[in-house]
Amino acid sequence: MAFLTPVYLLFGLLALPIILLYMLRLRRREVLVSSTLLWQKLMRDREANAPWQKLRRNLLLFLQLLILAALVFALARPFLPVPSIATGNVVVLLDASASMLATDVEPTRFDAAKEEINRLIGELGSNSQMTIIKVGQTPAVLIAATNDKAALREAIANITAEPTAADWTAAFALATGAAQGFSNARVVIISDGGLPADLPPLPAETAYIPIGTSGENLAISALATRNTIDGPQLFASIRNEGLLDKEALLSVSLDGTLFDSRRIVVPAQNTTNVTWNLPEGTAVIEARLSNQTDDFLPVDDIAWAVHEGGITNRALLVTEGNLFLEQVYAILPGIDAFKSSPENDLTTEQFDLYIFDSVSLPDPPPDADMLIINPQPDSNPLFTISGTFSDTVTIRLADSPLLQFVDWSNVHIRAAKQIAAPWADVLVEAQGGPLILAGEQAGRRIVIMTFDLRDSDLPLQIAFPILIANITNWLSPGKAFDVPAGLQPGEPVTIVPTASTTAVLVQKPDDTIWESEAEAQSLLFTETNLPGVYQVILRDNTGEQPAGRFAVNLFNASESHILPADSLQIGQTEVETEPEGNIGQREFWPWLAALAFGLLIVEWWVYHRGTKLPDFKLR
Amino acid sequence: MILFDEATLHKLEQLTLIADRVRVGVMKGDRRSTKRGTSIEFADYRNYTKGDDLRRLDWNVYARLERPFIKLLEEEEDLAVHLLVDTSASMDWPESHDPTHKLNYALRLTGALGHIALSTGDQLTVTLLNSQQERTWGPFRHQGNSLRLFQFLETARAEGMTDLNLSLRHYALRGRRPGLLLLISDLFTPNGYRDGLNALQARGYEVGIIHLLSPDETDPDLSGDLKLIDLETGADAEITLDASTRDLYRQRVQAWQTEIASYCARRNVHYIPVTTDLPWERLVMQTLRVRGLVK
Repeated sequence: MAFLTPVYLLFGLLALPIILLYMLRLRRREVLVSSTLLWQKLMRDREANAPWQKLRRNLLLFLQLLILAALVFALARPFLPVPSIATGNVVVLLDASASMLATDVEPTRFDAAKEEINRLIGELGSNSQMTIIKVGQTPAVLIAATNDKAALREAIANITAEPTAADWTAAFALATGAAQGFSNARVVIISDGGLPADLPPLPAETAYIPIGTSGENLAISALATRNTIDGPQLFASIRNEGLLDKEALLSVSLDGTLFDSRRIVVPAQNTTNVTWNLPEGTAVIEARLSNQTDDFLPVDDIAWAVHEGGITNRALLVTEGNLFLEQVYAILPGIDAFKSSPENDLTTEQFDLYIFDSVSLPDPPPDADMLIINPQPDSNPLFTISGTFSDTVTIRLADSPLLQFVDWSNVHIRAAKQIAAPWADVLVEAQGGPLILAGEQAGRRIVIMTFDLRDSDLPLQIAFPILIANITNWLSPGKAFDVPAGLQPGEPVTIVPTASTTAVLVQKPDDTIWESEAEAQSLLFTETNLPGVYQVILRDNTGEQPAGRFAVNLFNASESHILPADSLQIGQTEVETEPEGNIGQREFWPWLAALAFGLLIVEWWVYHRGTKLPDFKLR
Repeated sequence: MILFDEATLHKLEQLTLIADRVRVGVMKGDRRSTKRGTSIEFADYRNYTKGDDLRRLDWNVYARLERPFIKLLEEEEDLAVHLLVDTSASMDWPESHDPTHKLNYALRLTGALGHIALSTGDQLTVTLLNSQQERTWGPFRHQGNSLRLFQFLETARAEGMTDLNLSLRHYALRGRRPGLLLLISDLFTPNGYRDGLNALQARGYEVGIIHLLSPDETDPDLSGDLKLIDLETGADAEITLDASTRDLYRQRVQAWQTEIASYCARRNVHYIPVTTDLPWERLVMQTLRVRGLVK
């Protein structure tokens, strides 16, 4: 045992005044009695009968000296050397991924991990420091390089694990930064394993504290829909990560109504696939595992899928015949293309997008988005044509999403029309005039290509389908967002509002609303931490329009695989679980303080015995 | 201080003090004497012996049995009653207005017993014992003196010390007519009381002790570190009082009274321990009756 602040032991000198005060004891209270005859007899008796009674007054002194000793020792902060890994500059990586929500350790693995950190904090030496990094979807430094144990405990008091995968690479980068510049740095990984294999080596001694005992877990590892000839079909994949065969009830709800329940048996380390034919019009599918034996991770027992046809735009291609355009529009997703000749009456049916290829515009032009290729010199309210030019060497490309990934360097054009449209921006400008213009006019988006495709080699370039896709996308965007089927918690979603959208709202699974002004071309929605179904709502001047839903699921094999690893492979080194033989310091001053308090109560009781305590008389 | 009201006095007049062992009367009184005497109450017969007064021969018996018998008749005589009240400072306890004040209690008791004695025709002497100045009232007879007795008692003050041994010995030596002697005291006396009792008994007194203690003397409500000061002697005692000490004190008081009681029983002394929270009427009407001092 040694002391951290031995100078406080000098307070032990306070014993002298205490003893002095006892010597100069307070004057006794004087009380008149009718006679002291009996009292004097009594005193003689006591002194004769019970010698320890004489010490009784000194018992108080003894207790007070004990209290002082306990307090002084507590102030001096004594400690016992204990074997510990928490010495030097300790960087703790606390796994906060979904697998840490497993309940094989009561109450959860994450709570057990926090308990481990608290133990490390308790053993932290006086000249050691600790940094705690929470390793979740986005690793974060909870508290950096401090010896303040209260602050350290405070930092981890209220954190929880997230149902997401952990970004260990980023966490290792943080840990490397935190450990840099310290010669005695030490990284402690508190995890249940599941670290990726290709992690960079850490520049410090590394220890691993495994959390968890069991790997038993039944998980929904995939839930997806597809369209077949017979209608929509649901596919679910159930994975048993454990070492025991498992049986469970798999329930499927469609739009909140129970559709089917199946008892499934999944052998150990195996996967069972189930399919259903769904009725038409199904939107939200929820699959849930219940009644399973030995399942320690509840977060992957439920999954959602959204089966929405999406928005399919109808496009009318008005042309005398253009193979390139027809073929491109035949394969563009989200577009149902129809072809019409210029003689036909265009007003019979309404389309989302009109493509005029080398034909005259109808008068009036349709009130819809338009792609006008090789406009014809006739009167219309949109633009004026003042001639043709052949000086088509490109001098400027606008920085526009329409030209994203478009390589214009090899495009050659024989001739183009001189077009003036004040509402439009020039996207591609040649020496002689604009080649592509785009803009908004009277609430519709219009793109004009001033040249005939057959007068250029653009359709032969790789740039052509990209350009057409970009233009079509801009003209009539499909869904407001595009998410892959297996969107993981924490992964961002790009939401593309329409031209008239003023704000984008997302209703999260916990019914909270995320809202953002639709200022940019696209918005990044990042708050996908909760698994579940998200509803995207676009607000424009006319009101709020639902723009579809998407599902976030924990389809992550490594998080569902909750069997704790015995060792970690980091770089070339194997990190074992045994703590190394360093010496930490376990302080025990709180116990001394508690002892002093207890002694104080005893002293009080000894002093007041008889006056305050009930005095039972036997008669 | 008004000692008694009219109703109490009437009740007291029904009572008589009893002395078992004292048999020396000087005047005709209301009480039976052990001496055979001249009253009309028949006591016994005995054989005639030469020289007997022929007037006391029972002629009817002689006529029937033809043998002379002397008829013995009861003698009725008076009793000398001595009431001794300890008026040392320790009797001035607790507060004088406290109903359990020992001196007031003692004076009331004296008044009551004195009134009983006077109303039964006994000779009464009341003495206030004090080492500085002893004051004596009496001896007087006759009920008419009760009021003067009460007036005398009302002047009593408790102060100074009383050495009971000394006072009692002096009282015995003063050579009055021995009789029933009741000592009313708290027995808080530095040199004891036994020699005094011996001296009184040697002179033929029948002695009774009425031992007065106030409730807070038998069960003190004190605690903490105290310096106890003796009201009478001024002596002090430093003591740290707690529950166990007070228990011990209570045991001491018990033991003290038991010790006095057993001493008195051996010496044929009436011993009546009284706590002053006992109403004095009850003491007189019940306790003393039970103990055979009053009938």
